[in-house]
Amino acid sequence: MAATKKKIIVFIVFLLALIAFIVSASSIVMPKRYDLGANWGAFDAEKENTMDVMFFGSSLAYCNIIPAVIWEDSGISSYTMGGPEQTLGITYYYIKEMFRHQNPSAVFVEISGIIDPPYTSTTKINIGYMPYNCNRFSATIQTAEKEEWLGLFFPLYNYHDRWPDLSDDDYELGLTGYDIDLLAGYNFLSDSEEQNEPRQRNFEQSEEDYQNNMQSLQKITALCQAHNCRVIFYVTASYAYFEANYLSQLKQDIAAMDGAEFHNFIEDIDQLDLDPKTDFHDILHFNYRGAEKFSKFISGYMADIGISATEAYGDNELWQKRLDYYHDLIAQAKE
Amino acid sequence: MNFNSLQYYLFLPVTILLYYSIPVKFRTPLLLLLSYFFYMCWQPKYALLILTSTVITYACGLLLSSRPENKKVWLALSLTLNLAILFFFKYFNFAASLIEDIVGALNLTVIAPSLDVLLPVGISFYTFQALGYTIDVYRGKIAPERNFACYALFVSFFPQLVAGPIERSTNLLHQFKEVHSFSFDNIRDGALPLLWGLFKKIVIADQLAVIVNTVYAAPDTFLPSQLVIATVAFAFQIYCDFSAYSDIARGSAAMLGFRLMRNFNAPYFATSIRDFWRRWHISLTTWFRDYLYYSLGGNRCSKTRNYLNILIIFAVSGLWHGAALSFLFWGLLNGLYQVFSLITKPLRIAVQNALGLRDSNLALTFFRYVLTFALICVTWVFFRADSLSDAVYILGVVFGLIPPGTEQAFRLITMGLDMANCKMLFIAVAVLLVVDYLGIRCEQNDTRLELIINRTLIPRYLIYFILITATLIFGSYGAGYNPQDFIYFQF
Repeated sequence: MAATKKKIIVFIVFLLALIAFIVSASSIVMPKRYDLGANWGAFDAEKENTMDVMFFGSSLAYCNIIPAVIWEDSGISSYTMGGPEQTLGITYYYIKEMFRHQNPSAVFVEISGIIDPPYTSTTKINIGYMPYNCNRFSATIQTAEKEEWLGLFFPLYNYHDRWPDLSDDDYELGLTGYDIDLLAGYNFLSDSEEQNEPRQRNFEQSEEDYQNNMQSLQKITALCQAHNCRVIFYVTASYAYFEANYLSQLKQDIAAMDGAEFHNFIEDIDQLDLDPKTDFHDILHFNYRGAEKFSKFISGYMADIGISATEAYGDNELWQKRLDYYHDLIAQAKE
Repeated sequence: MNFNSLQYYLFLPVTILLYYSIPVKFRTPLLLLLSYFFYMCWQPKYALLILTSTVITYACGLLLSSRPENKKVWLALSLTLNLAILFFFKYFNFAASLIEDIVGALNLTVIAPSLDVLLPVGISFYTFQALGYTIDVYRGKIAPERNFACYALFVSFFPQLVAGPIERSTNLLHQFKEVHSFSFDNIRDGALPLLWGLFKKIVIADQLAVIVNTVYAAPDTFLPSQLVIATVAFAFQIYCDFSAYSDIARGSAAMLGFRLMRNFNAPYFATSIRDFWRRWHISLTTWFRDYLYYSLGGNRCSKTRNYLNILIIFAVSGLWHGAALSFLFWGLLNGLYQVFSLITKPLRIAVQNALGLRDSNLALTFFRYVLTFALICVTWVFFRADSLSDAVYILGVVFGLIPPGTEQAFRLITMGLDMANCKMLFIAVAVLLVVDYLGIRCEQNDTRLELIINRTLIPRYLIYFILITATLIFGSYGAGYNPQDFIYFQF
């Protein structure tokens, strides 16, 4: 009896040790993510319930919105929690995950991804950095291709061969977790690409893909409503505009959703005082100069639609630090 | 469904669970069904070939018993039909091209037909296993099996179906009639060889394959030293690859309560070529010994005939491995080593005595290990090279008879692996050798390393932990990897 008991204990210890090894090794070998979105490690390090507004979407969200500028302009604390080429299907799970930590009064979702197919090559990144829980499991099953499941459930499958390249950061961040992101999700871009004139976005999309994306918007709307949170779907300001009929259909479909709001910032582009020679990184993305102008404009837009800062959410010291850090980056870029 | 695939590690637990949870009378049909499913995951239509071979040998077995007056006819029928199938799928194109070459050398032209057929996975293994059964029945070593399901399972038992060990009817057949009750001891007995096999395949063999494939794909672009490294790497790759399959097969079977024979026993600690063949692919070597060598007269004949028998056995063994001249040379070279060893034996003993060296002398033993390994490595060049001319070129460059095709500086990275992986491989191969050496020492004390480890508790789990974690971190698997087939699948 005692021998059997000992065998069971050793077996359980073995299993626990194996699980502990797999979990910590997975965290260590995952490439560390500091920018370009999907940085859930840094977002999880934020204090709970400290954001007035959250921004979601693809690089068009995290390259074009500067939370520190919005705070400077309006006192609103915000965070950009997007992911590269993120599909709207994954955005839904991002918002769901965000609500576990934050209780914002408004969520802005950049929806240029409405034209995307349900799967993109960046799904591995967008889901791979989400925290392990049922939400991540659902996101994997619902939005990733089957060939990607194994790597998403079991990151060692994708990244174990990084072992010769592991750095001190990999061990430190892998075992102790990330620190907060002083840019609050914004991805700093300094290069300029001159733009000539606005161009229409050319793409082909099946009706099925469009309807799938609309379903994701409906799910997002319902989710935000369940959390008493306004949801504003928007198209970022850029020099690439949607074809008039497509945009009209999009507006009409979103208007039909109870509780959803929509704004096309391309229509406001003349009010942003953009310099096409210096403010763009490429036709879709601003560099920090353009992003700053756009962020200030959004800040004003938020005031117009009644979104304001919540006293209790303001950690002025932290936000000032964020603003200083942003200014440091500008200074470095100018050197 | 490779042994190093995720599918297999879903298939195996489900099989074990089903096997132990259904009534005993349904277990053989279940295993038979699952074994065919396992095989059909590769080539569904070729399951018909196993069935054909099974039906032929089963029927001949019964006829050998019921009509003993025509014993030789039934034996010949079984051998002819099975070898004809094997010849058709494995050797036809080789024979045709050989005839073309020979006729061409006589300044004549003949266009031999060429067959566009895939080599059925494992055909040499299950054909030899089935033939071994027929010969055993013919020799009266075993009664013919009357239960068709039982016999069909003997031929197709999934753990050893594709790459052996080539089991004997006397060892395996009766096990299908025994009741295997579930026992944690079975799982324990199977876990160690299975994990060790996975480690050898995924961590060592598949990483060494990178070096070997890189160098052997274009030998004329590498230095002699790089060709030597690649050949030594292949020696360990093929050992780890093949013995891994055998270990996983043994482990899988053990979990179901079946005992398969050991196929390898520390071959690179062999003190002679003869000793090497007692330790390498034991199931095939003993098959040839029992069913062919003895039939040819073995060593109970003149010395010359004995030497000829040895050369025949090794030539056939070479061709068993592959339908190519390089395999034939590989086999013949091994045979020549043995013949030379027998011829020079009196001289070697005299020299040893003159030097006052005992067999137990450590330095002498070490010298024998190294010499045997070096000789075997020469044979591996024929085994691995893409063609006979490549093999001759490699050996020519290594022995300084042909100038190397490059004069670039030696760089490890050009051989396909970075320094970190090379260091890891070096350590892994060292671990392999230590384990093999410990295995030999245990055998000298009439026990086995596996049994000693299985009797412990904490050290056993510690070994499981190390093997699993090392395989997870250092193994060749995952996104972007193309899992390498086991080398012996092609035979």
